[in-house]
Amino acid sequence: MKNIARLFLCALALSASFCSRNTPRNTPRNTRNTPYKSNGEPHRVISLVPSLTEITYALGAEDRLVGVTTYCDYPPEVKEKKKVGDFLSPDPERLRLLKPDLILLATPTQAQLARDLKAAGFRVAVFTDPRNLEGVFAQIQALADTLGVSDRGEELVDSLKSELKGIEKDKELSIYIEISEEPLISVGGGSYLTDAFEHIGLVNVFSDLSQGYPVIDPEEVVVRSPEIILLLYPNADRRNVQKRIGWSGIPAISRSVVFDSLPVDELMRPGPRLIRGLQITDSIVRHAF
Amino acid sequence: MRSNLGWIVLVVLLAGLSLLALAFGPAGLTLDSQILASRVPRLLLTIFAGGILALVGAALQGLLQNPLVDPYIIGSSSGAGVGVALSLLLGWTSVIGRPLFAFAGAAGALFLVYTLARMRGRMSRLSLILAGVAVSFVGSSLVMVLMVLSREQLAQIIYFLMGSTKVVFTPTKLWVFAGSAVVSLGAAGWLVARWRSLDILSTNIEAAESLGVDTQKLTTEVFVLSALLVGVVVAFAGAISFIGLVVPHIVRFIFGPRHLRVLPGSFLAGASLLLASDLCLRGFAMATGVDLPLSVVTTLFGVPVFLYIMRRRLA
Repeated sequence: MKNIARLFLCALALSASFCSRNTPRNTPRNTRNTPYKSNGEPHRVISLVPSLTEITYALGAEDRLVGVTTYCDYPPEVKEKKKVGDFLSPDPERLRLLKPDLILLATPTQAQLARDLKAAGFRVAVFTDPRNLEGVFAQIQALADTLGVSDRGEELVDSLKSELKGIEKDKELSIYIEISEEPLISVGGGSYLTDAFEHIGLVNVFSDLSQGYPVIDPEEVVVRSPEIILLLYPNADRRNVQKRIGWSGIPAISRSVVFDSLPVDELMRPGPRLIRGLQITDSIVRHAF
Repeated sequence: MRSNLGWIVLVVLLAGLSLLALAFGPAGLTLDSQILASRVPRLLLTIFAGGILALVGAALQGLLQNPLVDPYIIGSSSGAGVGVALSLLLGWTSVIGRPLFAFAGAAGALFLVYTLARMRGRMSRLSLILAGVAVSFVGSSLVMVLMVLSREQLAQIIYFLMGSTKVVFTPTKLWVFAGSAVVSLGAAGWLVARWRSLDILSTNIEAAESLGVDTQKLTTEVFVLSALLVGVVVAFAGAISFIGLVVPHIVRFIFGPRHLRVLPGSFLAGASLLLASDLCLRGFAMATGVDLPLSVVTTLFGVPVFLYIMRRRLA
């Protein structure tokens, strides 16, 4: 049972990594707790966060990456990079062998790990998980600054912002987002997704919950009666959701606007693919209305 | 007299808690057929899970003569855990797929324990406990391996292992549940019918054989039925802890050690304790938006009840 409890803590931490709820602190910190200066512009970087790995690639700075986690799976080329272990317990020996001059981490999930690595003499840059779209852009820029490619960061953020402009809409439709069927897990106000969907006119019915990814009571969905249901998990099946006992009165069910083939990977990682995920979602939803 | 009063209290308690469970929820007090339609399956699952776990716990404690035995010691819950983790890994996560995998895992663990515990055609109670513990550990390790492999679904597997009756039902799943529940209640009745043999075994192990109790047959029967019953519960509600361990003790304090009373009494008391815990959890979630694991609530709710009764009876 103790092991199960320990694993549970790990899983909570892991799910928290996909879901962030702290205020964005966009300036990365290094060992001296001051913004990272390029006096030693990092050339051997290890990323311990999948979204930061993706951003590094989008910035064209992938040559600097010497190590990533086993969870880093995008873009496909990342497979060729050396793996240093999982998200929370990278292998210290492998870290040392790669001789990094900077390790990228994210809080709150990796706060302890960041302290440990710092104490072990590594230089670390700690980013706070974004809580909204602005935070995602700020994080991209902050990482670009850290890597000494500020210009490319500005270009990337500008192009993402202009793509977003093309699909921005006023708030008009209420949505219920489901990221797990059993247990029933939705998205709360603490997640960047709530803010991201609002930009395309979709208002999360659970935005009042402060948690990022709360486990919810199925009856709550009936009470909040969303107009659209988005299923954000692999192998989602809208037919099962439409058959749920007690749910037939929900507008999204009675009008049959339940979507199950959404770009889950793009949306569930607060990185450069997020805007594309929103574009696809927008076109799928608008097509149905 | 005392036991009659005990029965009345247990039945009234269960009925009252059931009414509360039907009346209480995020939508408030309502007669809306949609809302009630979603509350009834949850109520039935809670009564079933709590009742069966406590009854199985009582039967196993009686059989194995060990007050620390709980329904999970015979390995079926960790077998079910392996099943669920596999279903997630293989993407078989449909509403029916998961209970089926969980039950298959529990049945697999049952088969393993049964094979390991039998030596020269005989199954001793000691070998049963030890084989059960060994299979549980192997199961837990396999679950951990599958957790690492399935990554993002990690939290789901762990949530399942902690137990929950907050299940979303579709008509198909409801039918599967109803069917398994009816068969399970039949099996539970079979266990209750073994009360006399369990009584004899509890009072005098050595004399049991000479008093005409076929301990081999009894051990096998109680073990197989318990493992299958736990498999069904875990398949639908996950591994809810504490109920199966402590409720039988509470019931023995009230009704004495006779299994004719302890077994059905445990069913009623287990169902009530789980219903009360589920109500607490629902109230807490509505007030704070935070969802507590069911096993945590059963423990926090059950321990004071247990200690109160224990101190009164032993004083």
